[in-house]
Amino acid sequence: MVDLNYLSIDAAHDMLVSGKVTAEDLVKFHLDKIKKLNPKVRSVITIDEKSAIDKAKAVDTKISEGKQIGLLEGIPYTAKEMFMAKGTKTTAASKILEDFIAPYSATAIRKLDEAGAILIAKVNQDEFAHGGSTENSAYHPTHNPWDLDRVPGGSSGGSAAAVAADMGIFSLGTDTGGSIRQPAAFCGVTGFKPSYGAVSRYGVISMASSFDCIGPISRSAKDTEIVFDAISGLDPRDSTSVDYKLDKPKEQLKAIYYEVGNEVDSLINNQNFNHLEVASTKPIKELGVTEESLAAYYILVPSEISSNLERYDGVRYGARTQNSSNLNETYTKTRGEFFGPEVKRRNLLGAYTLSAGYYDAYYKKAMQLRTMIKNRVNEVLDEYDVILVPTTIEPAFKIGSKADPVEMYKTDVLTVFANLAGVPSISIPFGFDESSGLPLGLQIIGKQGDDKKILEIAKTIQDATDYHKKVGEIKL
Amino acid sequence: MSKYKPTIGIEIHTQLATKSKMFCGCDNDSRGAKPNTNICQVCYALPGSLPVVNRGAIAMAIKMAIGFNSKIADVTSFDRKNYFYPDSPKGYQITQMDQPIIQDGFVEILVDGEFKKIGIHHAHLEEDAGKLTHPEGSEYSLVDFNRAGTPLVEIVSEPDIKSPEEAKRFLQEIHNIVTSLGICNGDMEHGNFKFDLNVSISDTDELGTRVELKNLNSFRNAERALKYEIKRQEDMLAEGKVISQETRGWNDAKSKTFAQRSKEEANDYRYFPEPDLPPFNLDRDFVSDIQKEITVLPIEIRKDLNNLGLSVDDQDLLISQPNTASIFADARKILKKDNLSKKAVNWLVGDYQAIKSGLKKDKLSGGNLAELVGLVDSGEISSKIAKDIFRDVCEGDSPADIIVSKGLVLLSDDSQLEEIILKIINDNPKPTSDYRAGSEKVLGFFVGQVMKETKGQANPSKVNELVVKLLKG
Repeated sequence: MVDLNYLSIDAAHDMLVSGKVTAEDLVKFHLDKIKKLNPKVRSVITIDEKSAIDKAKAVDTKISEGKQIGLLEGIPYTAKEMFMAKGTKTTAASKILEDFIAPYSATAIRKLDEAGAILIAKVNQDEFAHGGSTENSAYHPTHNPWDLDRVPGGSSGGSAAAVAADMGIFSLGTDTGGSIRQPAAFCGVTGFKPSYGAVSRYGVISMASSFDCIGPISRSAKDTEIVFDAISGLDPRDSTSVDYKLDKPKEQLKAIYYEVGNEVDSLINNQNFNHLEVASTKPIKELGVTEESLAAYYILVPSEISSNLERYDGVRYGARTQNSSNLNETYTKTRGEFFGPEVKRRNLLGAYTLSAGYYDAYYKKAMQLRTMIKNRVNEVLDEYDVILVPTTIEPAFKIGSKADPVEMYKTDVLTVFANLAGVPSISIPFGFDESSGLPLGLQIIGKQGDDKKILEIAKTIQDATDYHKKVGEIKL
Repeated sequence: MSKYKPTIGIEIHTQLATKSKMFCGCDNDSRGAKPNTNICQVCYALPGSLPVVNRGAIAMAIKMAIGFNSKIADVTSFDRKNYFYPDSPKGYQITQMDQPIIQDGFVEILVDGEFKKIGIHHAHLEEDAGKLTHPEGSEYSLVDFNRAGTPLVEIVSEPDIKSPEEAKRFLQEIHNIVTSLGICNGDMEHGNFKFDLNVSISDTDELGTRVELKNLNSFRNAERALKYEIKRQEDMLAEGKVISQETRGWNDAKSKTFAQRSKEEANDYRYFPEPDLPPFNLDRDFVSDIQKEITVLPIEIRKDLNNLGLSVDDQDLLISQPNTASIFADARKILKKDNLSKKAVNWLVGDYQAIKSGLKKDKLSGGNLAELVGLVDSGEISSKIAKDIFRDVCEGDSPADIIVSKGLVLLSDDSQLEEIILKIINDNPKPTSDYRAGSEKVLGFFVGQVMKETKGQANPSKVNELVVKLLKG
């Protein structure tokens, strides 16, 4: 019996081609993992068993006919509830879309379909991606496979937990302020937020349009690159998508590391990863953008949210209140009954910061601050090829421990600046928290369009280390 | 004459005649379509859908900018106007606030024989909403999103308009421009061209309180509503009352304006830059290609017609029919002389309009019209014959070909005519001797006989000349 646990894309592909496993068995293996582990992890919202097995059989037929298959063909994966995948339930983990079936597919999903990857399940998240722990899901929280009492992070917590628990080989997430990288760090997996515009947002439920990025969560930088290559590129359906001329890096690269006071600091010092030299180490304060980023982020993002979520009004699709006697009540009660507290909070905040009389004081100022942050990040990246900084200050926290929304917002403090600047950032597992033994993450941040460069660096580091190979054991 | 002077500014909403909608590929023509059948994820605002700007709408806006003598923005961008209403699928309308595509232009209107410039503050692109219906007796309303996403341009004038008459002329001029350039089909009955009128009155240099008259769709009603509103405001001020800033509607049946909404009830639309559409540069080559497409502007035609001394009605008629205007332009190029060009206009505003709709095929060309005018002018055919063959000319035949094939050329040949006249003189010794004895009135008899003999095809002035010559011997 071959060991199908924790396969990389490469390894799974080789086994399929060499006939060591059929695509059907590979898919069934991951579906079984969902059945076995999901009651504890609670990552999955909907399983697409029949369609997944049908697709796997088609791949097997192709292999048996001696035809070549692509690297992603027959590879089982999961996607966050934000992704429209034709015929699947797409809820954004909200009650307002509880029974919503996607009538079309997102560009990223379509591209993976065309590459032959197999969507086996849609996974949990914070409602409309508002949160950093997946506790804001309208359905149920997701648990961290390393410690079921802890959060997997968020908002793509379902994706990170699924990958960490081997429920699918990779997952698609969205990252507006750290929502791919922070859960990846909390769950000991690799999460990549590409440059803004590198992956089409078409068909992915919008949170904050000028921030949202689509990217993979997987178990290595190598797998991440394979998925990124498949889903990236200019899309005529997304006017903000960009055709980056993605360059491979030059020979010798120089990094600056910012210290934040956790175990990553001591592990990184004076390291040399083949072509990457950590040339300078400075306290995070000297980057000078983290607190400022949080301030700008929590004005601009709710502003865009308040507008992007206006379409959920009970008129055309989704839930509608049964208790209204006029139009105004249809709006207020539908949104009152079916939006969760954090979604309401951000809608109110955003409506306020955009309103006449406050626009200049909040939205406009935050936009100016965004430009300054972008300039500052680019200034550092003019001097160094990449910025290295831990993904989070702390490891995954206990479920229910951050009841104050502002405390929750602060968990994004090391990730949001990359979204404000639109630059690519990858979080890779890097060391463990001494007291809890939980994984920590390291971000590698490059210039806009340097996606291939930071993927290359991440691979280099993973060649020299084995943090990404550790898995959390789930106590059943 | 009232001591108060009115100041009027106008906003016009024009529906663009593009092939597809403003931000998606749906057909822009939903006539005859069942409700909610001409929609897609974008114009129905499904989760995850994103807008993409229609290049055709941009091209039309550029044409409009040229028609308005405007600057074409180097960079243009879209904004969101947020409001909840069932006909607004996204909960916001994509419009242009900060960087409209058309900025700072003017049009010229003809007032009392003089051309006057009316400023265009700006014109911006936006999308239309769906259509709400309220079935009688039911407790619900229905929404049809077929219209949602239709491209619109809102044109905002400067407050340069000083009378209801000027307002009417301004509206007509804009209508002429957008229809003749093929930007808008101009169908006012179906709301493809409608307007809001802002009017205030004042007896000082400072502007008075502004009242907005909303949603008018006929030139005549615009003029009437403004007249009524100005009078209403004058009466209020005369009675010492204060005019409040409000929106009013026009009741056609009662010929009155009526209050709709006060300023306090105004919405806060929470405008902000549309994050799904980055600002974009207007490519200069794209603009100059469009410029090349426009051969003549309505105002140039009007100035030319005005110089010819045509009435404003005739000018309007020609300008409002781009096809007719282009026939005229072609004919004018050939005819050159003003007096002949004017004859061409007479054909176009007279006979052509009368028979146009009944033609088997409408194929009147400028070249054929010029030829017809030329043949009459040179005396080769009579006006009567010209009239007789005009229908054939309108259906595409060349006048020269018609008169040859039907043998309609006037007899102008001296020797041929002289032979006929001499024969008549010989056959009629009595009238001949009468003439020679000094009776001028028998001249008519001879001319009549010649015409009878030639079946009306003799050149009348030539006949006169020759009869006199031959009778005198």
